Amino acid sequence: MKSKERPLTWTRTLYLFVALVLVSLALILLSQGRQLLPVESAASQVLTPIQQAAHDVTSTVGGWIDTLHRMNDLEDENKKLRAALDSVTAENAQFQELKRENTNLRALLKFQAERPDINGVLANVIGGDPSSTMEILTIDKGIQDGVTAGMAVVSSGGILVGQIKDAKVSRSTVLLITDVSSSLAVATQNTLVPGTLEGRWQKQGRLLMRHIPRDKKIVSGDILLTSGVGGVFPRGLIAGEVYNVRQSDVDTEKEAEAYPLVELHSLENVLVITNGPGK
Amino acid sequence: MSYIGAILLFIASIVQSVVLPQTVPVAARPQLVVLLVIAVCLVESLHDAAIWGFMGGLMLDLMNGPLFPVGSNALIMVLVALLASMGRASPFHNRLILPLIVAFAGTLFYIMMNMALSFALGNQVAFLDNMLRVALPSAILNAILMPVAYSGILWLSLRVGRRVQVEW
Repeated sequence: MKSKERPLTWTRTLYLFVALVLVSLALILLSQGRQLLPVESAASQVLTPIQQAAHDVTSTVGGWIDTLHRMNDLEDENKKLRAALDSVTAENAQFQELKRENTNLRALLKFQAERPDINGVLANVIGGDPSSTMEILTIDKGIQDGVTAGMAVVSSGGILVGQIKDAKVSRSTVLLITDVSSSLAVATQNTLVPGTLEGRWQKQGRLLMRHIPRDKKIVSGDILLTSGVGGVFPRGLIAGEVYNVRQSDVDTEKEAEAYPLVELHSLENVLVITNGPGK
Repeated sequence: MSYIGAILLFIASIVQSVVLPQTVPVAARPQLVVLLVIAVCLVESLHDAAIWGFMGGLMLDLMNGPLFPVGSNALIMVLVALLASMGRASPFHNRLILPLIVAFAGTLFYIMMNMALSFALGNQVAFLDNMLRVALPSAILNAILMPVAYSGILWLSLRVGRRVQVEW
């Protein structure tokens, strides 16, 4: 340490000490008498922002430190919560699936109750045509379940979907009524106007009812039911709804464009009618 | 007044009055200004420590709430400096344990004086509880921290010479 220019003496230190004590006491007295308020106020104006800033910094840094300190706990907690969330999500998805399946099965039961003459095998849709060139579905029931080619296939609500084109041991292919190779005899529900309903999917359409006698009245909104003619489909199955009727001056027959009353590509379950005429 | 001493005291006061109450959840906390005053007293002189104590105490007075009058901490800190100066006259002056004992005693004295002042101002003071929960643990903490403070002030004193001192 360097030495001071003026050496410290006990006397000088004593004077200083006494002076500081006296000044402190004076400050206390003045402060008690509220005579230091202007000084305290000025000091407060200077110090308060600094203290506030220090407080904010401490809070922020404290938050970081706390977060770092709890990082492992948070990580573990996060993992647990994610696992719990995954589990709940899976359960929820399973629940929704069961709910949907339940709805379909209830509709099928209702259809079977309404049509006691029809026996069927419930099947799940497990695929479609990978090449997208045909309107087909693959179902998980086959010969071992009593499914054979030619059987009619309906949706859970009893709406005609198509017919079994090919059956293997445990799976089958359903040719949808919208495929161009599909053709079936139908009639309008109320006026019994006959015709043939053909698939038009590959021709940028959906269904086309042909061979309608010129003198028969058919209008948009008519419901088409299978007529049972041809011995493939049971009579009375809903096949579609007319939305456009075409007739030229020279033709002797009319044509009606229709659409199926079920979304064929969204089916999850179908009923294969095993005791129909097409079996 | 040396700017280094002023900065150190200011930082210690801020930490003492703002940071520690936020970050240390218990009442027992290190008393940093006391620690600095005692360290300066042991390294330098009572002359310097008295000035450090007065200025440090004044900063605490201005930063604290209006519970205590301005000057109270300044007075107590000057007295702490006086107490610490007695350690300089001890035959154990050059022993390692002396700073620890002085830090312990000085901190205890500072808190006891605060309690006495609070009592004198008409506040109810739980002397025994405060002694056990605040004064003794804080004194122990300051004794533990004393080697750091002592080494720091000694290093500063050797490095900057008289500039570390608070000049009158």
